[in-house]
This record gives sequence, C-alpha cells and structure tokens, in this order.
Amino acid sequence: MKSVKLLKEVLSYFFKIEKWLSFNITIFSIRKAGESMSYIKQLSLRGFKKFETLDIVFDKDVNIIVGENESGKSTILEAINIVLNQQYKNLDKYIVKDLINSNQIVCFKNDPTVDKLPQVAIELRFEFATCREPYIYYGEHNLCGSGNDDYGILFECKFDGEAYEDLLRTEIESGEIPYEYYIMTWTTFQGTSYKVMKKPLSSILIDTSITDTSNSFNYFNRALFNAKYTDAERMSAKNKFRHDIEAAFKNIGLEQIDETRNFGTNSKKLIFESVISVFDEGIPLENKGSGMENLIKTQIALDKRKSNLDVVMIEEPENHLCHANLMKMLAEIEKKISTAQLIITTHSNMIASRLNLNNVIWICEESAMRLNSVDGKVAEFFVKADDNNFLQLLLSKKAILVEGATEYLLLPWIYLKVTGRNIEEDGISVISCNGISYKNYLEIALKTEKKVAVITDNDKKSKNIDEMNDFNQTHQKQQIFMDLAVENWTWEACLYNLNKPLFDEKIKVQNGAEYKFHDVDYGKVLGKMLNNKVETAYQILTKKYTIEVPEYVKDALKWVNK
Amino acid sequence: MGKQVILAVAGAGKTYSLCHKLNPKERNLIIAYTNQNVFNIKKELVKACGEIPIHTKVMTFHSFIYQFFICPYEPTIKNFFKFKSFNREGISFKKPPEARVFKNGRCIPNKAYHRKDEFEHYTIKNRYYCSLMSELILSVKNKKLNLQKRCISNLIKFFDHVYVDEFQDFREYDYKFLMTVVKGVKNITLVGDYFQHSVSGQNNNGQPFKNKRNYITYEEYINLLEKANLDIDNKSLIGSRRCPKEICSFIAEKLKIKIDADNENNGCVIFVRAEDMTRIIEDDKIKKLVYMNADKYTFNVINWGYSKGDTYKHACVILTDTFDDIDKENFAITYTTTINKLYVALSRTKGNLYIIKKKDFDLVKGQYLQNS
Repeated sequence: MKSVKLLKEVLSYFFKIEKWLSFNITIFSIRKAGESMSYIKQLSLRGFKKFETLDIVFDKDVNIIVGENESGKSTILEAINIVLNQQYKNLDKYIVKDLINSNQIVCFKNDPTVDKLPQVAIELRFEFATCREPYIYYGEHNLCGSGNDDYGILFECKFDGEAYEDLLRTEIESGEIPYEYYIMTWTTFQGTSYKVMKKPLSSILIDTSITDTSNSFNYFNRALFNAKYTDAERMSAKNKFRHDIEAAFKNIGLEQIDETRNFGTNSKKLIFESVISVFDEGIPLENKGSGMENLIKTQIALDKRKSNLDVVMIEEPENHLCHANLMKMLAEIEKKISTAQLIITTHSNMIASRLNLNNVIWICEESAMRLNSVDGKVAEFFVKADDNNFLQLLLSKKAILVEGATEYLLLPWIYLKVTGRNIEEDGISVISCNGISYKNYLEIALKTEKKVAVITDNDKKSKNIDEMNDFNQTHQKQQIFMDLAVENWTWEACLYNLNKPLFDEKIKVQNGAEYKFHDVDYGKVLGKMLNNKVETAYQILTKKYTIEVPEYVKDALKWVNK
Repeated sequence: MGKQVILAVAGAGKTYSLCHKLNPKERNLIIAYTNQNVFNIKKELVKACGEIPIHTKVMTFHSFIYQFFICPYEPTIKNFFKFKSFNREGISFKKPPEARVFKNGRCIPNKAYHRKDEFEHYTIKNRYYCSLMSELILSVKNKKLNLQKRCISNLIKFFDHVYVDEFQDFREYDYKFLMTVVKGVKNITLVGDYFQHSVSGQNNNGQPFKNKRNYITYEEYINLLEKANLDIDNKSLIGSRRCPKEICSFIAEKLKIKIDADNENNGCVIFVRAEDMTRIIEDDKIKKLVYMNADKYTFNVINWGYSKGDTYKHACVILTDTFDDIDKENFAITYTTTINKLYVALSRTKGNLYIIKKKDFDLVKGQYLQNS
C-alpha cells in the first residue's frame, strides 16, 4: 500500500512539472487605469466571532482572502454582509450570542461588571466614485472618532440596558450576559441611522458552499435584479406583472363558484422576486449543475456594465468546479478585473497565485496581512508558476524548501530517521521549488516572517556558499543550508559521497554505459543517480536503505525545530 | 461662477431665476431659511427641470448646519467641550434660557443657564437648540481640531455650487456662520433683498443690519458684502415680475426703494374713499394687509410681515399712523424697519393696490373684530 501511495506522489510530481511547462499564458497586470469606482476601502472588526481586533485594507480591484480552515475567512464576508445588507436585522436576539468573540466572554466572566459586557463592532469604510448623497456616510461616528472623518457605516451590537442596569445588575455581576437587552444598530459615519434601501454601493455574495440551491438562488436573483434595474424600472415591472397576471387569469374565464364567489389571483401571493430566475441560453440557472451555476453566476456578477454591481464577493469559487471550469472562471475574473471590486476567499493555490500575490490577504492568528509589498518579479513568478505551493508555504507554521523531487520525497523519511517524529505532526511543510530558484519562495517567507529552512546545493560555486553565509548572518527566521565542500555540489553527490559502499553495491550500472551528466563524468554510480534522480529516491525509500544523512541536512532539521 | 450676491427687488422672481440658472448636472446645494421656501424652491425646480435634479439638494439653513456641521463632527464637538454623555435625539425648537431672569421684580442669575463654554449652553436633553447651532459651531475654536475648516473643505467635496436664498434673513451668529461658509467655498450665490430684512417673525435683530443701535444703510450693506469678496449684482433682478408699473413707481417715489416693473400687469394705486371701504374690506378677492394682529379680524387679512413671498390678485394695505400721510407730496420719514414691512405689503399685488388710511379704518374696525 505504501509503495502505491509513493508512486502516486511521484507521478503527481511529474504531472505538476509537466503542467507547469505547458502553462505559460501571461495574465499579469490586466488592470485598466483611470476607471473610477465605488468600493470597500477597509473593514474593521472588534469582538466579532473569531476576531478581537482585525483591520483589513482592501484593494479596489481584487482581494484574495486565504487562511487555514476555521481561520475566519468566511467571517469576513459575513461581516461585510451584516453591515451592508443588515443581515440578522430581524432575527431573534439569541443570534447575538453567536456574534460575540469568545475571548471577550471569558474576559467578562472573569470580572463580570456592566462596563465589561462584551460588544461587537463592525466598521466598513468606503471610497465613492458616484453616490447620490455621499455626505450621508461622511463623518466621525466611527471607531476612531474625533478627527477621523471618512465615509462609512458602523454596525454595533451591544448592551442597551442603561434603563435596566439596576434591575439587571445582580444577574450581570453573577456572570450572565443579558442577550435579550442587546441591540443591533447600523449608523453611518454622519451619525444617522443607515437605511438599507439607500445602499451606498451594491454588492453580491456568491456562496458556493451553500447546498440549499433554492435559497442561494433567490438571494442571487434578487440581488442581481435590484442592482441591474432602477427603482422605477423595478416598480413598473412588478406592477405590470401583477396587472397582466390578473388580466390573464380573468381571460381564462373560469366559471363562478356560485353567485357571489369566484376564484381570483391573490396579489399577496404574486411575489415577483420569487418567480424570477436568471436564464442562460434559455435554461434557468438552477437547472444547471452546481459547478456551471457558479461559473455563470460569477460571469454575470463580474460584468459591471450589465449587472451594476460594485462589490462581488465569492466564497471558495473552487468548490464544485472541475479544473477546466476553474480555469474558465479565473479567466473570467481576470477579464473583468477593473470593473467591480472582487473579494474572494479560497483554499486554492491556483486562484491565489494566478490572481497575483499582491492581492492576497492572509488571515492568520486573528490578524490580516497583505502581501502587497512582494516584489513584482516574484509575484509574476507565482502567477506563471501555475501549480506552485505558495499557499502551502503561507499556511504552514514552518517550512523546509528543497530543490526538487528527490529531496521532496526523501526528506520526510529522513526527518523521521533523524528526529524520531513525523514531519507532518511537527507542523513542518516540505515544499519543492521544482528546480526553480527558491528565492521567490524565500521572499514570501521574509514578508510573512515564516520560519523557513532552505536545503539547497552549492552547485560547485563558492560564491553560493559566501552568499549563504551573508544571508544567514543577517536573517533570523530564515536560514539557508548547503554542503560547504564543492565536491558535494548537489543532493545526490552528498548522499553518494557519504554512503559510497551502499550505493556502489545497490545501484546497478550497465557495462558500457557512460552515465554522463551534462557531459561530465562523475563516475558510473553517481552518474546514474544524477540521471535518474526520482527513481533513485524511490529505490531508497522502498528498499529502506540505511543511509548516512549529510551534516547540513541534520543542521537544517535541528534548526527548524529550535 | 465664483462668489456673488444678487440683490433683488420684491417680486423679481428670486426663486425663479435661481432655479432656472443652476446647472442641473452639477451638484448643487440650495439653502433657504424656512420650510416654506424649501417647498417653493422644490416646486420651482420641478417646473424648471421637470424634476428635482438628482444631485441637487434643497434644505433649510438649520438642517444644513445640523447635517453638515454638527452630526458628522459630533465626536470632535463633544471632545472640545469635554462632554461625553450625549446621545443625540435631534433639534429642540425651544427658546434657550436667558442668562438672567426677573423674579419678584429683581433681575437675578438664571439657574437653568449654562455658560457659553459649556456644552449644555447649546443643548437640552440630548437635543441641540435650533437657534444656537451656528453659535455652537463658531464656538469650537481649536487649531488642532480645526472644525470649521474641515467642515467647509468637505462641503466642497460634496457640492460644486452653493445657493442661499433669502440671504437678508441671516442675522447674528447665523450671518457670521454663513460668512465663514462664503469665505471657504469656491462657488456660492446669495440671493436676497436688502429692503426685506427684519420683516419676518424671527431674526429681526442684530448684525449685519444693526450696528450697535443704528441700522446700516443700503450703501453700507453693499460695502460689507464687497469686503467679503462677493461680487455684487444689483442690476439683474430689479424688475418686479409681479407689481404693475404704477405701483412700482409709487413704491419707488414714496419709500425711495429702486424697483422697476418687468411685466405687463395692469393695476393702479387707489386710496379707498370712506363710502367704498366696506365693499373693499368685505371683498374676499382682495387680500387685506394689516401691520399686526391680523388674527383679530374676521375678513381676509394677513400681517405685513407674514405676506413675504406671497402674490395676490389685488391687495389692500391698511396703513399705520406713521404712514397716513403717504399720499401727500411732501411725505418723508426717517428709516425704520417698519418701512421694510410696508414695502413688502405694498409689493404683493399683481393687480390693484388699495390703500386704507388708519384714521378711516379705525371708524369701521369695530365691526370686524373676532368674537364681537
């Protein structure tokens, strides 16, 4: 069984390289300059769900929110929805419990006083291109207060029992949170109450994880319908609809029930929004597969000229999409990049890197980090390297970067031998740089302050060794490891030189074959190892050879675990 | 464009010209003093543009100052006064307490009064005193908070052009406040009529029209506005679109107020003879205008001051003692604000102007009192 799994890994490794080679369409920097738009500039959360404090600055074009499961990616989209669309407005007060940050509850329970009662605040700041009455949203009624005037809306959920304070004091001071006395308020920064009818910008949330299609469709249809048409157009459509249905029903000419009674259409039941559907080439979207449905929804939403949407949020677009359709969706997103603001949550390496690293917002340990200072060339590298392991690096606590397939395959096994523990259990990812410069990955590690060990080759160049020494002296969280002897110029050479008798015995060479590597003769055994790197690694693994581990590799493993 | 003040005469069509002049594609802010004026402007806008242009906002002066200067910057204001526990509920139209009150014939300090450097001076029970909002904004003097400057620079962000109607109604702090707005914005047009100041029920005191105890003259007023870098236009709106020629000449001659007729209306000035008086008073098609206490009478009547902005088919002005000699060749009086009110009263008609002298009216007055 184990060898089958291994084989799979080897194959997938080759598959990745092959795909990487065949995929080299440049889609970098497609933004059209000068197009003004309204967008969400910043989101701030205080005591909301997972987050005690979180501030995210959004890009006006594309934002890709990445993070581990449960890191709070969807909480961010939910927060935007709560503020803009007054989600939960009419729900039972008990929902409040789910909104409050658990640390705040703990804090309160440790010292239960009225002042310490937990509360939630969500603030959205905007930039407006066109807005009918922008001043409604302008002012200082925000989390920063005096001197910080801006455009925005503040949602607050807090105890509103000043009048009941005396009545509730005993209850509160015994650690009870009086949820039923909590109120939810939506206030514009002007200090007036926010009316959802007068939304400052139109938004849509495409949530591919919802399996209840009828619900998600109603929401989508309604949001699109509202954004697409003006108030007057919608009113007249609804009126005509009701009027015509009534007329059509009359035209049927059903016989009266009796002298005074007859059937008719009840206008209360003629809810326009619940009968409309988006049709794609004559087929209602609901009737398409959920993958196609998401693709089409995205297409519609992103075309601002047609949908009039300012903000499009997509939750995990990779769900339900096969590779080909995901590529299609990405192409769609890239085409429309400058029309609506896009906020995406994703697990997919491909989405994150193809839409440019600079757009990635990484949610980690209750903070949000933008990678927008990543060097342009590095970002471009990841855009092109379609199946890179960028997200894996981002989402892991510690990582070891290796040159290629052999190291990638052997390292977990070596790790187990050296430390006696499983590498996954220690939260360390092994990332193969696919033979391409590890420096691109290292740049990301630097920006995100990841603990990363690089295991690499000196390639017979003493310059590389000098560079490594310089680097290691000036960095703490990232260290490079390579063999210091030029004769140990690559991984295979290191292993071979250290375990000569073993490999000379086990690696079968044919008489007459030269086994030259890049036209250089390294001897037959090493030559074969170099020419068949993955096979050699595979052989070592399956046959469970006892090999000596090079010192620099041991050093790297020791350092990573420090 | 730029900053200008248009001085108009009664009936020149201030509202009309304002609504027809503005560019409906621009973001315009029109400020009027009363709700009635706001309504009139909106009506005129619909006539002029077919709708209220989507980026044009019409509001009263008080809601302007409340929405653009107070609400958005409440944190700064509270910070300035070091006042925290204020949960705004709106505006109060109550009269703010005086600093001193009379009690048992003595003038003593009022307990309900708060000093001007206290937030409570300007507020009552979570509400702002309507009449003190300008003063409140002007009193936040702090270089760091820089409130007025910030407010006005944001106002420029929201609007391309500001219009102020009935400019002569702004007095004291409201006037001072308005002048800081004038100073700060790029494009502002003020429309008003010097001779209609001190006519309406409120805001009849103080600056700019009163300098200590004396009223300033028309020329002094113009000087004041020029100093504020306003271009003065006292030409384009001096033709009355309402009053017939004969009535304009009468007003110009008797009250020394420049007003031309810019219409084809017919009407004469008619001094009502004793025998016609009952007929005129009882004719409901002729609006009667008395100096004050209109509500005491049973016929169709209004106070001079309240008739501002109105147009009547025919008007009948009942004079006061001061003006009973108005028909004399040598009629001349010193300036008081009552002249402004009479000017308003005389200029309401687009037909005949009937005039009843006080001494004649006194003879029949008794028959027309309410409850008698």
